[in-house]
Amino acid sequence: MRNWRKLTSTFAILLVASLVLSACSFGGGDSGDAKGNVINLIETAEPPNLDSARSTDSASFTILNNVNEGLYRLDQDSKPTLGMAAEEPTKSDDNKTYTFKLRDANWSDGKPVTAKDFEYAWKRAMNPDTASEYAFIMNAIDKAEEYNAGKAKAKEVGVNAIDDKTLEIRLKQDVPYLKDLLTFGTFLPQRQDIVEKHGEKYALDPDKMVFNGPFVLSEWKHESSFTYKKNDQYWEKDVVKLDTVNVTISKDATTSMNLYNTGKVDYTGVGSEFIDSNKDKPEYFLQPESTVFYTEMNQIKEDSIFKNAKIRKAVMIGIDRQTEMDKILKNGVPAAGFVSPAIRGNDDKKFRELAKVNIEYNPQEAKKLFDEGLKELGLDKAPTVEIVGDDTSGAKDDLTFVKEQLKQNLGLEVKITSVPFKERLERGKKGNFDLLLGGWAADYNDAMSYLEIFTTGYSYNRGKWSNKQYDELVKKAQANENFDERLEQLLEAEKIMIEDAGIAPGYFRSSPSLINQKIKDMHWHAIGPDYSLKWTYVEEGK
Amino acid sequence: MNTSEKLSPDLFKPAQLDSSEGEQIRKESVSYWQDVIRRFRTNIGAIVGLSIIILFIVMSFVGPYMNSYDISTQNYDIQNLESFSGDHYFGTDKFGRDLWTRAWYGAKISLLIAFLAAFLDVTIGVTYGGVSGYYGGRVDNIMQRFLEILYSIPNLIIIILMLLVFEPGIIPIALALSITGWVPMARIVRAQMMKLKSQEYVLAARTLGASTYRIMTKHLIPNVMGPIIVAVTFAIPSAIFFEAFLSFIGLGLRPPGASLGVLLNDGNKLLQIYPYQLFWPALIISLIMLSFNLLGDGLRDALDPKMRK
Repeated sequence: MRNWRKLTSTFAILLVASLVLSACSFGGGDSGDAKGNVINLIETAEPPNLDSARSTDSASFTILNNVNEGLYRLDQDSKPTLGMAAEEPTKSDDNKTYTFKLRDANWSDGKPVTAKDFEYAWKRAMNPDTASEYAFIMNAIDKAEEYNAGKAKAKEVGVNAIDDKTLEIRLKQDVPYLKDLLTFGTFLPQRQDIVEKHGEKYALDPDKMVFNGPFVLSEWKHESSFTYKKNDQYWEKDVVKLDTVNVTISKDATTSMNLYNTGKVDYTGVGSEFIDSNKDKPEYFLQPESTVFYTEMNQIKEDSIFKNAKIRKAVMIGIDRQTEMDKILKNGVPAAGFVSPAIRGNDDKKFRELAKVNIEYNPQEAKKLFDEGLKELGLDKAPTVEIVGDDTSGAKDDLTFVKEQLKQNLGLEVKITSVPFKERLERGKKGNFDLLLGGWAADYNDAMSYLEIFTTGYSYNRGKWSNKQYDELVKKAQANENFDERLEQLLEAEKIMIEDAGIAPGYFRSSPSLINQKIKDMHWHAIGPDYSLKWTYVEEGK
Repeated sequence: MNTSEKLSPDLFKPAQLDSSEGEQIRKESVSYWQDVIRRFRTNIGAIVGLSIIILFIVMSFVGPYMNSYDISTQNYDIQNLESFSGDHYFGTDKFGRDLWTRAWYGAKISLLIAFLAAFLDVTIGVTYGGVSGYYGGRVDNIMQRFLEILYSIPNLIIIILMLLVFEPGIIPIALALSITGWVPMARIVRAQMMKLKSQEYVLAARTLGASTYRIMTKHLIPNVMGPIIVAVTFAIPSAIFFEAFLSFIGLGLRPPGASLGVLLNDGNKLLQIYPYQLFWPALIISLIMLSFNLLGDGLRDALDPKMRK
């Protein structure tokens, strides 16, 4: 009896020790074992389907970008470069009609890519029966909006296949970002025979779709993994160096980290809790995004203190975003304005480089403005306000930081309410907040994608900030075909927004990631797909 | 043994016994509660448990004032300090907030929620169970069916729904925990009531014309005190645990508030990098749980009259 007891207790101790020790064995592994021309990646979400007319999520758009090709594709510098289009289009005199010549290229089943494939795919996306959430992205095309609303016929829409290799696009009005727009997933071609053959099941499995991009999707185990293989029919197949890309779907940040640390994958996103222990590694980098995070201030509620522009401005400049980025969130840079640094201005410069405003943290000025604002409102003390944000750990850290900053710098007491994403959207819609944390990413590479959402009456303008001058400038820019003047109007509009503190921009986010150093030329994009694998290769002999 | 000595009758004489002395109690009388205390004192585990609980209750009030930091002030120059650096005895978290202060403050909030929830359990459970058990019959039948329906709904669902409607805070969490938490208490009390109400002393009291209220409060409830106290000592740690669980799945106090659950949740994310941020709150919650269980065990033994030696 005694001995038996001793034995069990020894066993128990060993068991506990082994648990503790096994918990310690993370992070020891070699990073990656990319061999030959095979790489292994991680995706955080299962793509719902790969029907380019219906896709809305970045996982799908990223796959589509690697297995299909539109008239243009994003190049190494995230600029549009010729894809299926053989040359730059010819323009009509009024700049509204573009005629594209297609290059000789084949689908993965050997059939040629024709202008019909483009016309079919685009009209399918606009067709109200398809119910594509991204149909609006085609609104620049003549009669697209009307067709989508059921007010025009398909043949009136400004997309025409003149012959097998000639595609004509008629625009409602000329826009400067057309080339960028044409790289977007919704503008990819589709084969009518394949789509109609599979009907509702189109693009739900690799054998129910066809490819014209650098890779083909060879395997797709739903919710688990998918595999790319080099496409032998691709028109520029000599450029493509990778033979196989295996992608594991892993939703959990810790699991992904462990897969990377044990060399099972060559790339992973880094959760905020792992940034500190990884940020000094050479593999660490910030993946660009176009997301800006900002605080909206409720200007509809009767007694809202944020009706006062000085108080709004105090909130905007009273939060030390630099410290927040350096010490707490570590995944971005303080927002100098509202439009992301990834967004183009003109052909040479980014919008941010040309911008007329720069938000700077200034606690003294903020306190002064805040007190003045309160005096104007006839208040001795600011009421406690409620700040609403998401319930992810990053959002909670952001909320906690903002609360403390507003308390210390302005003396404004804030109550934090962190809710699930859907509930946050609902609260925003109903105006049930004082301060609301939100984010916005560009749909197309133009400042308009950001600035139009804060015009009066726009549904995403949750705080209901309204400024006539701003509305007018944005409206003018929307209809302006003189690109320099248009840019000037947009720059001016952003300036007004920041000076009136319609919203308080917080930071521009980017995603911390780790990538095996042997992988070269994997190009990351801030807008649209996450990355392009067309030029990627594995460096040998290290 | 060989004895040669003979016993003679004159060695014996009759004892002088006063028959009234038979009724006299020589030893000091020991009441039920004195007996309980005596039995309790011999149980070392229970004494240790009680001492730790008292220590933690005192610390939860004194602890946050033992250094000069408060729970919410952030200092970005001293993020993630190791334990025992200067007067940051437990180190600091990623906002540079003092963990010693937050841990004891969190312990206070957790204990407060637990005691409040236990108090509500007792109040509702004893009343409900008492009425149900004492009256019996149809009243009992209806009350028990209602209780069973309530108990058949998974309590996590009710709690989550409640916390979505009310803003998470000390009182809503305590309310949410006791909305189904009183059911076991009511069952224990009902069972005891059913047993006790047919005892002779209750019959005697009723015969002498005592009111129902008097019978309940003076005769029945004091006799079910034992099981109630034991149930409470087990209800408190389970409430603490449930509060920690709620915070862990993100339904706890709003930041920057602290409870043990919130601290565990924060610490858990950093386990691989700063394990001490999980260790201290985990140690405190483990000791609280262990102590209450030891205390509960000790009380159960002490309160059971059959254990009398």
